[in-house]
Amino acid sequence: MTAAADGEGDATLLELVDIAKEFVPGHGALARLLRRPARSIRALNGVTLRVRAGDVVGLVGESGSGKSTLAHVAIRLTDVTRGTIAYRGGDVTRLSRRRLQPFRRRAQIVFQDTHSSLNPRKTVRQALGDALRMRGMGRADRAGRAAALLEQVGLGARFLDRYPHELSGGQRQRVGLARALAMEPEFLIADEPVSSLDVSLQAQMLNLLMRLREDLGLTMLFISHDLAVVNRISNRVAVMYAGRIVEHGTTAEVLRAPAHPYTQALLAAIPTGRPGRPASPTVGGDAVDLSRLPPGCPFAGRCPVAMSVCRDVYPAAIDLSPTHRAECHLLGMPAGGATGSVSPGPPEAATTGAGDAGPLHAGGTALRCREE
Amino acid sequence: MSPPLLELRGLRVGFPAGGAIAEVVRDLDLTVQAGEVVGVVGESGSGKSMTALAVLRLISPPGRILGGAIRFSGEDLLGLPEARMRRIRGAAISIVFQDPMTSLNPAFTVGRQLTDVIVTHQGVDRRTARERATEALRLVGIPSPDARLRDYPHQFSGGMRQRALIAMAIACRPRLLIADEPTTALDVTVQAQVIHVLRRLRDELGLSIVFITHNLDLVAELCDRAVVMYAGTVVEEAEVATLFNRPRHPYTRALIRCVPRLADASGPLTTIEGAPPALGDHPAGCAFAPRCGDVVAQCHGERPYLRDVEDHRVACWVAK
Repeated sequence: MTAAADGEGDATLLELVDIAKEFVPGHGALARLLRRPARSIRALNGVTLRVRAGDVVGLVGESGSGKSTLAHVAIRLTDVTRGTIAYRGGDVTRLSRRRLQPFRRRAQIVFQDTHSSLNPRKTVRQALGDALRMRGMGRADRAGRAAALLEQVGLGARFLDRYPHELSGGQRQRVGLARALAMEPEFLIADEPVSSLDVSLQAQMLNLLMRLREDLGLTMLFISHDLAVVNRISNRVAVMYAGRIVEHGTTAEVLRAPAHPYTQALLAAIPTGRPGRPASPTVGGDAVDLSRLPPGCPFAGRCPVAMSVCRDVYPAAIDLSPTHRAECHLLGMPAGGATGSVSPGPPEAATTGAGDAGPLHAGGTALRCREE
Repeated sequence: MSPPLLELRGLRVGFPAGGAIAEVVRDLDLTVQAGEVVGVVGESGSGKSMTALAVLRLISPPGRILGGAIRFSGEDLLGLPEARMRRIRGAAISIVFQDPMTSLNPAFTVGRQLTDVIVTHQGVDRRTARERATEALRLVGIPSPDARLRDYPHQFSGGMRQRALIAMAIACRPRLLIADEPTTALDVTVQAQVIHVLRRLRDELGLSIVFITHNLDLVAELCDRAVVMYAGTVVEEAEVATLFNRPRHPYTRALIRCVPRLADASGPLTTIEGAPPALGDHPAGCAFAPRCGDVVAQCHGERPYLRDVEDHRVACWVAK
């Protein structure tokens, strides 16, 4: 485990409580003309997450599960529909733009899409200079600081006068990171920072992030759909599905002893990287439609161990340890139900009620954590 | 041994760039036997997609095939008139692309698009075509395929669209399917389903597949043989188990090591320093030499070609 302590009671940096975020599509003229009742898209629903100083929280989930929306909500790039956001104990949920400035400086974000997050008309020097100026740095000091920032992200001063189109994807990603670091943040959100990079460059970027975290004492929210990457960099993991955090805990708890059937399915689907030992898909189906969420658990339709209650009622969160929590009816059942013994260790195989084993369901396949 | 299903020899593909020709595929050799699943793995710009397009003669101008030979079932594809080539595309060799959103026409139902393909290539009536379309959707694991034929692409999820495209590609019972990063846009649970479908098509239809990917682990999942590309050419080729257990080329070795895996502990990852050469900008010797840890003087001066090293084929001066 990394330097971050794992006990309770450490300084909370960011706290999200019962966050909901709905988008209402069809505000356009045509929609109004047709008078279609707008169906809101519930991107986040009942999300509660605490990030302590020094944590690297890995946020995983399929595309559309709400990872990026959560990141944007966390630093107030978008407003919440419900819930509160506190930073260092202070409520920032409804702060005005102006009063938000100090918080915005301390919390920075690096985006996945480096094409749209860097201004194509500005050189690297200008992009970094703008950030430094916003921090109140005088012109004389900016050039030297910009060069030092580029050095820090492994690029060097020779990139100062380049435009974004003159950089490769990996280089643009580093410039985005340097720009975030220019604000000297204590909290960094990295939204899929390596997803668009080739593996050899991905490894370089991950190592860079890990080193910066150590050197600068950064707290991070690291968003990725790649569990192996998250395993490498995070000390905590939160798993999202259809706008909810269905499981979170220490990296060891979530990835070695997953409690939620969705987490188990995710782990089972990862290629093993070993010939002759293919992963077996344990769930069929696909992401749910966020504008037509069922009343119960959104995973119930795909879940191989779903019960009738799952379709009607969303499960309450169950604490499996002081740090490990999951939202699944099975875990609330008395022992002998299925998975979810409170003790750490690999979950019992849940082979019961695999439901209709469609052509893609590996019918009767035990859901279990991949062996090490 | 019978002649290979697909055989590429010394394939070269280039694009005009600043008065010169940038070669994006360089002297590439590739063989696919009947019933075989060959994984072509490489990073962006390694030339893997260009190779796929070249097989179907779909390189868009000003890019063009500069030289080499492409034989399919012994027939020289580069010498065929375009009309004959059109009958091979989609019927004998078909291709599935990465992006299932842009490869389907949003204005027509999935059924219409599937039956059109079947009518065009097989000359059957619409009713027969519809039956075959239903069967194709069933083969790729889409539930209630008959009803689903009436859906428009936007009514399908991403994973279902990709499966519909695979259905379209196999509807005419091709002998070779080229799948170009078919799972890259998909989530891991859906990716596992698509891989499962491809494996089943190989087993049930005896389909040969060229599986193009940047994801080494997927090659281990699905393929019989793996071909590793770097800077437009093949650097190593072997049976999948052989390649993963004892990679010989320094690039393959580094590539396998730098993929993070769940079983690993935390801590820094192995990296390959530097970056691949810019498109068409190849050094005189081995293209990997500037990033290679095992480099010797010969690597900078002389380009290595594929040679047999035990049960591998490796393009490297030092590999043993």
